[in-house]
Amino acid sequence: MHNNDLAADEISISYTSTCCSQHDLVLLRSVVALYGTQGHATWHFQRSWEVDVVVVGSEIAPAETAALLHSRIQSTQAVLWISDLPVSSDDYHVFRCKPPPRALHLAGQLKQIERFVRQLRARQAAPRFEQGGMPAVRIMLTQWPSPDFLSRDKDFLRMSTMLSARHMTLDELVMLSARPREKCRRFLLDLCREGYARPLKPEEELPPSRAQSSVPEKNGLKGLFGRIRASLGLFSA
Amino acid sequence: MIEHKIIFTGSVGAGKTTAIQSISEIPPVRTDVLSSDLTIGKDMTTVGLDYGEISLGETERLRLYGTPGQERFAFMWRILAQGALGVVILVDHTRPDPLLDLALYLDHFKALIRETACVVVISKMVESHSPLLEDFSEFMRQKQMVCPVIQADVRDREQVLWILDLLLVQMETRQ
Ligand SMILES: Nc1nc2c(ncn2[C@@H]2O[C@H](COP(=O)(O)OP(=O)(O)OP(=O)(O)O)[C@@H](O)[C@H]2O)c(=O)[nH]1
Ligand SMILES: [Mg+2]
Repeated sequence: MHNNDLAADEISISYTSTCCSQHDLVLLRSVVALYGTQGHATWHFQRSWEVDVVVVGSEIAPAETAALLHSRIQSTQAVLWISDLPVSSDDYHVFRCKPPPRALHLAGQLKQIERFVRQLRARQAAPRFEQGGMPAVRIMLTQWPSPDFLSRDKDFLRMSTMLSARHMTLDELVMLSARPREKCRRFLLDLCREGYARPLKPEEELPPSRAQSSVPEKNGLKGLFGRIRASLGLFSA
Repeated sequence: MIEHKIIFTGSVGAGKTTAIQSISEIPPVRTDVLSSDLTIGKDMTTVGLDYGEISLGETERLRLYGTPGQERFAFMWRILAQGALGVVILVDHTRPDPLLDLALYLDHFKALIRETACVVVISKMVESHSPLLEDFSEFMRQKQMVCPVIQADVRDREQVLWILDLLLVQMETRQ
C-alpha cells in the first residue's frame, strides 16, 4: 500500500559471508529472507568484498582472524561475527553473535546493523551540511529519537516535537524554539549523524510539507492554542 | 458555542477513559459496560465513547473524545476524527503484540496524523521488555510517520497535561 512513498527511505544492504558453516548459512539466509519481508531494509548477497556487511562464520580459525581483518575488512564495513574468537571492536564495527546463532538474536543484530548502515549513509550524504557550518537546508525528522538521545538535553524533547511537525532550517528552529543557536546546531547535527533526521534534497523542498496543514481558519488558531494552554495551566517553555 | 476536539484512541484497556477522566472539567460521560468478552481481560470496557470537556471561556470549549478501543467499533473512529485538532494514540505495552496494535490506529487515523498533531503514548510500560520505545519509533519510520513516542501513566493528571503540551507544540509549530 505504502510501497511507493516508502521508496525515499527504503535502503538496500549488501553482504557477503566467509567461514560460515552449513548451519550458519541456512540460518542467516532464512533470517535475512524473513527480515526482508517485514518492511525493513532489503538485504542482498554479493560475491565480493565490496559490501556493506561482512558475515564471518563459526568456522573461522584463530590463525585466520588477523589476516582477514587486516587485509579484507574496511573501517566503514559492519562485521557480523558469528564466533567465540576475540575480535577488537575498537577498529571495526563488530556485531557479535555467539555460535550456534539463534534466529531471534540474529534478527536483532541485523536490525542493529541496518541502523549502523543507515547512519553511515546519512553521514556520507551530508558532508556539505557538516562542513559548511550549516547552510539553509531544511532538516526533516525521519524517526523519533531514542530516549537516550532525548535525555542528553532537557530541551531536546520539545525541539524534536517541533521538528516532527515541520521541516526546518537551523534559523527557523532557533526562532521557534527560542534556544541558543549553538544548541540548535548541535541538535540538528547529531540527529542527522545518528540517522534520526536528514537534510531535505532541493527537489523535495517544493511540495507543501507537513508544515502546510489543511486545517481551515488558520489565523484564529494561534489564539486558540493560547486559550487551551491558559485553561490547562500550560505555559510554553 | 465554538467547539474544538481532541481524540484519544488506542488499544483496549490502554487508558483512554482514564486519560480523559484525569483532565476533564466535567465528570466524564462514560459508556463503560461490563465486558462480555473474556479475551479483553478487564471488567469494564467502553462501548460508545468517552467524553470530557475543558471550557475555554464562555463561548468556546475543547471536547475530549475517547474512541471505543475494540476494532469492531472502528466505524466510529472516522466519524470522530473529522475536524479534530489532533490525536493521542495510547498503546498498552502489556498486550500480546503492541506494535500490531499501534499499526491499526496509525492506519485508521493516517490522515489526521499527517495533517494535524499526534502523540503516541505507551502505557503500562515494562521497561526491560520489548518492544522498546525505539522499536515503536522505528516501526513508525518504516511507515514514514514521525511524531513523539513517549511512555506515560495517564492516571497522573500531570502526565496527561504533558501529552497535551506536546500535542500543542506540534500544532503551534505547524502554524
Ligand atoms: N499502570 C497503568 N495502568 C493504567 C494506565 N492507564 C490506565 N490504567 C489502568 O488500566 C485500566 C484500563 O483503563 P481504561 O482507561 O478503562 O482503558 P480504556 O482505554 O478506556 O479501555 P477500553 O474502553 O476498554 O478500550 C484501568 O484499571 C486503569 O486504572 C497507565 O498509564 N498505567
Ligand atoms: Mg474506555
